Amino acid sequence: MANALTWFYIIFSWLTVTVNIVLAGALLKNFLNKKTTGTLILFTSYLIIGISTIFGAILYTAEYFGIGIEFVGVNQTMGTVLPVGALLLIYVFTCRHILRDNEMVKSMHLIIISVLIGFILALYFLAIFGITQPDGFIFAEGQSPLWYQITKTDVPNTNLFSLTIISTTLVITAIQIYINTRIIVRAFMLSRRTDKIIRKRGLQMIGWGLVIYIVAGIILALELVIPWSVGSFAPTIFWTLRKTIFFASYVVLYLGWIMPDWFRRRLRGKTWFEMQYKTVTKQS
Amino acid sequence: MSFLRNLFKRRTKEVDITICGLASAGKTTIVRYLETGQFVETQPTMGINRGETIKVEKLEINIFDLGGQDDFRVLWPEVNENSNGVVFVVDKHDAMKFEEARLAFQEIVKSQIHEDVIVLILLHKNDIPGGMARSTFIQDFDLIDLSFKWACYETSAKTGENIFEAFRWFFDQLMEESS
Repeated sequence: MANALTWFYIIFSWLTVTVNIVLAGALLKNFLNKKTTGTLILFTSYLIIGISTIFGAILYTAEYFGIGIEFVGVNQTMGTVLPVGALLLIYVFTCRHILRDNEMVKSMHLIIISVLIGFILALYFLAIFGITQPDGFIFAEGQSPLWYQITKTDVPNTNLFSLTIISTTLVITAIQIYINTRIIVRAFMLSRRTDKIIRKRGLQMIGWGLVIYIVAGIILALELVIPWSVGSFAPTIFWTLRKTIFFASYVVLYLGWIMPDWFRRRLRGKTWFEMQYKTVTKQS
Repeated sequence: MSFLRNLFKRRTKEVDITICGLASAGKTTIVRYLETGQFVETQPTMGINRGETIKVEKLEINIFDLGGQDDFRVLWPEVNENSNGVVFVVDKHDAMKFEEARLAFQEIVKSQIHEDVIVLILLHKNDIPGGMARSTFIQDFDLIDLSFKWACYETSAKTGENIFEAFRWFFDQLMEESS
């Protein structure tokens, strides 16, 4: 039931949801203004991230009503898998402007990562339907390990905190680090090569935003993998830190990808026309 | 109350303008010139490029740079309908596409913009010798009968010729209209 900590989780989660939805809204506006494939991809990825945060917030809210455990499987599955789906879209987006992977390389990346995500998703769903053992992999004792012979078994106290979540978290973290590191390296390389201040700063913000994002991902992995002792306050600290860092990375990345007008103007200073106009008006 | 109203009152007015024209007419290059005062090589615009915002006195002008390729022209009406000013760019050396440009322009003035919209026509790429003369262009492009407040300039984003003059006239008209 609800205690002060539950309240803290609920408020912080919905705050994250609000920020993500605001960012997704800003990207939707940007898409409606530009109507380009790139802005649509970016909006969709932020929307997916926003939806994943909603799943998390619902879980904590359900916990307040004492029914959190009934939702834990679905919410954790969505909260974990959806951001990787969003990452795939970010990858497609960056292929257009930063990575320049050809169609072949892009397709291979998408296929391999989609298969991995599909497999992870399957494991999660098996876990949701009660096939996961609390102490092991997805098979009940005495059953054949062949995947097609899996039968549904009711295992009491089953949840995702088993070997399944540890191994899949590590795979997801590895995917995130792999894709993001490639984008980071390329973004910093391109930022060094350009003299255009707005492009330079934009690429740097993308690079640093993703560095922050990876740090948050590593904190998440540690949070799930480390066997915390019951009653330890450390998971709450990790959770808060992770949420804050994710939040910061989404904002920094938003500024880097989109460069809203006010930010662009701040970086750019006055345009040539504005300066000319001022000079001419002064003279006359 | 009036103090609060003053506190939150917008000090600047905001208007939207669109830059239209056929593909490769030089629309994005003009926008870049307004920004940097230099000629910048650009890529073809895909869809709509919500470009720069230029602030002149108390007027903020949002520039929408519209892709000129055939596929993107279906997007023009929606943007033009909400626009306070339209800049139409014509490549003065592309005689082959002159009729296509004229039809696209007529479509805009007849069905896509309101009657109080300011229209600026740029006969662009004037740095290259030859091409259509301004007087002939005005006649052949049916500008004389135009019921809008309009002006036509010969410009070049390579040399900067008339870019400032044309947009100064255009923005002054927008300021007058919005005051």
